[in-house]
Amino acid sequence: MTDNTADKILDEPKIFTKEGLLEVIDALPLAIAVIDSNRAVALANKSTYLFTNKDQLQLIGHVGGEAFGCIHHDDVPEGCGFGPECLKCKLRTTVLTTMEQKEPQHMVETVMIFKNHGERHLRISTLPMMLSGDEVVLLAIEDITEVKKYEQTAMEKEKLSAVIQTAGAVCHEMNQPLMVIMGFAELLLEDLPENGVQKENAKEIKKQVERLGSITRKLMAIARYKTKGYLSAEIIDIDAASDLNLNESD
Amino acid sequence: MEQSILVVDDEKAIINLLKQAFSRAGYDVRSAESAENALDILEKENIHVMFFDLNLPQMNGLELCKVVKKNMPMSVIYAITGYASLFELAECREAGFEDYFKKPVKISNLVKAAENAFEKINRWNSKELKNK
Repeated sequence: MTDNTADKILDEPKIFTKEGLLEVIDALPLAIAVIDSNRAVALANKSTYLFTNKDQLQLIGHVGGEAFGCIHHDDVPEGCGFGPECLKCKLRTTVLTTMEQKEPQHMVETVMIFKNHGERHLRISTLPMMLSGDEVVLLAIEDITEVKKYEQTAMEKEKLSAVIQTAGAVCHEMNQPLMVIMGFAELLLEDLPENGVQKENAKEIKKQVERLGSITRKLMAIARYKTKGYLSAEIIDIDAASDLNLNESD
Repeated sequence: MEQSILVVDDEKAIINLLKQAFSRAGYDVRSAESAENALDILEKENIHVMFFDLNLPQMNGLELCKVVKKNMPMSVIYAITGYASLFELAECREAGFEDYFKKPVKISNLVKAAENAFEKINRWNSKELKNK
């Protein structure tokens, strides 16, 4: 006979008592809560109270969205799980999937908006388990908002550096012919008789080259990464990205 | 005495432009496409007003300015550059440039700069004569 006890332990939900589990999760730095089959919070560790800024009465026994302070809990009278936004809620679907499939979910990232602390970027993991005879889901929530902000800043710095290098190269190459065209237009203006069409044409050439010169000066003063929509693409917003604000481009 | 200007730029079209512009304003113009060539000219000729591009092959405009100012401290040298940052501006002042122009620059501004340079040099010369 084959002893498959080890396989059974892996397949079956983990069995804990409330006290035993609380002792373990209280020692962990993540917000960890137990969600029961009614989608209510059955147990929460100290970090969860800190994260939600709520006490036991406000947390235990309340449905997830209400307990955590999701802004969409008030969208419909039935509360969390019934509003149109709830269909998109990754926290809800991750917990439900864990419960239905009895499979853990790892590192699911989502953005939620809370009444207490606004928009937060979360990384959630779940584990199906048995708690005092009930099938429940252990939910771990990691607030990675600051990490995401740092990643975003680092990415923008990298992009800015590439933009500045490209702008520098383009400006350097463009400013040479611009100088030549502008200079000869100026000399031409000296030679042409007043009130003639040719003089007006030469003036227009000079004016347009000066305009190009102001664009390259703005490009050289790019100090931040800012884009704007252009048809279906995103392009660098030279006015917003530049420290010079000459307002001459259309 | 004819007032001479030395123009140094590795772009032929820019040299051509500056030669025409300064000649029209009444100056005698010498030109060089490299710093080394410029130093050769300065060894043979008595020129005190100069316009250097910063981005020259081999020895750049900043280095050229330092060498010239060491040998001719009373010379007035202007920088013209295609790409400038504040850091370069500080470096230009340190190298001894009188002022700094970003391309594209108006010819009238360069001619005005040349006028100011000769005015300054004349003032210095008359003071020297008085002191003697």
